[in-house]
Amino acid sequence: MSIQEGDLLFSFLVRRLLVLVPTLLVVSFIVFAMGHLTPGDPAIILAGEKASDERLNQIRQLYGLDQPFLVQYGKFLQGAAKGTFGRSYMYPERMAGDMTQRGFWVSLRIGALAALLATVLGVLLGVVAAAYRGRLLDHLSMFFAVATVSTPNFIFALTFMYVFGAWLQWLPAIGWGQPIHYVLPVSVLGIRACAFIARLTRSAMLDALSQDYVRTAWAKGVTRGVIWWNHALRNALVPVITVLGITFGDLIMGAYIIETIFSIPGLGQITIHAIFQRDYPVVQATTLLMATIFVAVNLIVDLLYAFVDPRIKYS
Amino acid sequence: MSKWRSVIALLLAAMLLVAGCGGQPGPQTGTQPGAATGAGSGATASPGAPVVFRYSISNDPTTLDPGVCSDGACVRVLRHLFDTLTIMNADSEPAPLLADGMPQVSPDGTVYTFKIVKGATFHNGREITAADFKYAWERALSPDLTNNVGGYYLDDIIGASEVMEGAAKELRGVKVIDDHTLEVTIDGPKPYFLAKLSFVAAAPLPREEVESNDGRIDENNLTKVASGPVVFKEFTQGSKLVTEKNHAYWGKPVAFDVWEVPVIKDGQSIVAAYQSGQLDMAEVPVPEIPRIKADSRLSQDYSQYTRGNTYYLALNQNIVEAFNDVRVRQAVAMAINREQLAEVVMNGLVVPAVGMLPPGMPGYNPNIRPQPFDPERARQLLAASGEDINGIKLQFQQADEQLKVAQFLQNQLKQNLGVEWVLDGMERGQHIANFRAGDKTQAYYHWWFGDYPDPQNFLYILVHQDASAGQNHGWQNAQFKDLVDRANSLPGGAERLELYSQAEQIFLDEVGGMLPLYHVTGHLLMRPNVKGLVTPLIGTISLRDLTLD
Repeated sequence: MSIQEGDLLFSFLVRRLLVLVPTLLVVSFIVFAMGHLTPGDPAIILAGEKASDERLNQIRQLYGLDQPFLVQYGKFLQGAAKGTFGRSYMYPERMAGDMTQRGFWVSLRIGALAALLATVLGVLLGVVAAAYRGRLLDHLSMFFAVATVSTPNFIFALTFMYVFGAWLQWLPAIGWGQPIHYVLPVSVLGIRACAFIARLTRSAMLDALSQDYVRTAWAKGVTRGVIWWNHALRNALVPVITVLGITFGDLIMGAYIIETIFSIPGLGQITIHAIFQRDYPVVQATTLLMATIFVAVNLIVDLLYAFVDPRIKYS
Repeated sequence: MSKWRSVIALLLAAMLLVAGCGGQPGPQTGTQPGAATGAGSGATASPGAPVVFRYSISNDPTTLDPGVCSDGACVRVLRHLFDTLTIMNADSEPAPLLADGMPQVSPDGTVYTFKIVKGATFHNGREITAADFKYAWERALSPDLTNNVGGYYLDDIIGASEVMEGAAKELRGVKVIDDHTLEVTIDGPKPYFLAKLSFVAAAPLPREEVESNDGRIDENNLTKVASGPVVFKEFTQGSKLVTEKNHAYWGKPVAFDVWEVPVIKDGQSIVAAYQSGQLDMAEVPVPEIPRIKADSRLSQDYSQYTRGNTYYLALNQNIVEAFNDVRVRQAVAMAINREQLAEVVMNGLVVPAVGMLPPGMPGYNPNIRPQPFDPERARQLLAASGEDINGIKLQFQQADEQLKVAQFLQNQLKQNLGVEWVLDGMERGQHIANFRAGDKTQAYYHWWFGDYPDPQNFLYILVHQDASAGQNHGWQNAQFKDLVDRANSLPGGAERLELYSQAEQIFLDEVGGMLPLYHVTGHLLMRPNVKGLVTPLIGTISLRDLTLD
């Protein structure tokens, strides 16, 4: 990378980070407004369905729910700027920001491991399938990929839980806190992403292998290994990285069902519980974090392109 | 090539780093011996190892404050963390706990004098005294708390409403005679008062520990303010809560060293965790029961227990003119086959309702006469009334099971009465707010879980025109009112129950605003070595008398 390229990269980064601010502001406003527009009164959820009307009013006052919308939004922005997001309604000893952070680290670890598993296995499977195109290994790996992609996550989760937890009793069916607790959720999350990446890698590889430069390389007498790994795979990886970026975001944030089934204290569970309990500070903190992650993942993906594909420049 | 390699290496390293050292050392990592959640039953651990009992809850507790706690998850846990003056025994009657024997009650049934056991301490080591009850009750009633659970259980005490309204700080009806004597005056003879004092909202609290935590009870001071046979250890939202045996407990110690409380929300996960040996006991949701019954091993560990609740269909006379005609209400009642609802729709896992009072409740009368299922008579009655009740909106809380019941009701009315009702499922908060408003909901399907085992809790609180429980239906009947008012004024005894029973019959004859449909039961999976579980009709499962052979 030349000095000029480095400068370009830097200014690209700065611009993208600057765009982040208005994006998050808009998201925060939408999130905040939606919380107020959705039916359901947080006061009833907090006070219980048998509470008197006077008590409901007292609670609205206590939490500032009786104040004008914009005043409430302003307070929320203050909390967001500090990173605390105010106290959780449900667990007043906890700051919404801290709760979100705790859940995020759990989800990030599971999501990252699943993404790693999916990438390594998926690319490997895809390459193998491309290499043995039309042969048994190709059919087998693509059968696996299609079957897996078309099966919802929770089916895997429940099946794995029954087979390895309840029936064979090799692994804990549920729980969190020890390395062994990663095995089932990471496998379940990883397996689908893996199948997806395998299919994508296969077709991208086949596409790359049919390109002129590959034929030229063959003609020049370049060895098979170099052609495959250096020329074809590298080009095949551009679409894979794009998908990986989206998948990675999903793996972190879309794991609610997996977290619920395996009793994992991740971001998804914290968010959904907060939504049901109308714990606005927590809902707002988690949603903003999710928006940030999506933007960040996209940024990382854009940066990765440059490493994989030298034709892509930041301008 | 080398650049490519370094990218991969970097990615791998970053992921490992994230996976390896992300997160904070905090309550989420269990370190006590019981935290190992591999296969094998903890309750039957090898000699010398701590005895771990695992009983799950199906949702995160929404609070850890006994003054605020009303959901099933927090009650199940706090019931064991906190002691109260009384506790519900296996016969669903209040038995003394922190009270040293049953209290002395004045002849008119309004003044209770409690002796408090000596040597009972909070988890901070300080002895529990009479003043700690007064403080806790004033706190539970005060408007500073989010939830007025205290109001349900302590509102009979003289001066309670002033404290609830914020007009007074002090609860007039409670006198601290000395460190171990507490005098409580209530606003009338109420035989259920002792049962109400068994709820965690009535647990004594050490003022010094609560006030030094800004008046809150949470993870920061729960290990000090609690008083029960187990001590709070940690809570990881969405995963588990852990408590340990209180070795300094004044009363009967629990049979385990650690009580792990996994939070398992998914029904299938509960069963799998039980099968994998990660649970010693679990309450199981209804959809899992057919599978459990079909499984030769699981079915041996399965049992049901009775709970005090009634699911009902309410007809709002405030806004639907036609419902003011008793014949219309009777027609609706006669068009709904409750046996079929219980047996077919609910797989025989609920008990069809005869009256408003659930079986096991004091005053429950199995010989009471509900409206019969009689479609022909139903149609005659409706025709005779000349009313049109097509297009009534049936409001319910949107969820799979509720939808099934609502559809059944809709279908029955169509088949047996020839009327079309419209289903109006909505989110819980909106549903409750609507029917409470009294003028928004035409008809709705909901439920009532009793707060104390007494007919008053159903027939007065839910049905009586003066009660403000919020189940507005607009039904009024002078005879019913008179019978219930007379029963309410009596200090107890058979006559009182008889009066409630007469009132209940009038309510059923008239279909007084609501039609009882069924009562749900509790479903348990439990290892054969677990004995002595107390499952009161109202209130919470108690592990206090458990033995693990």
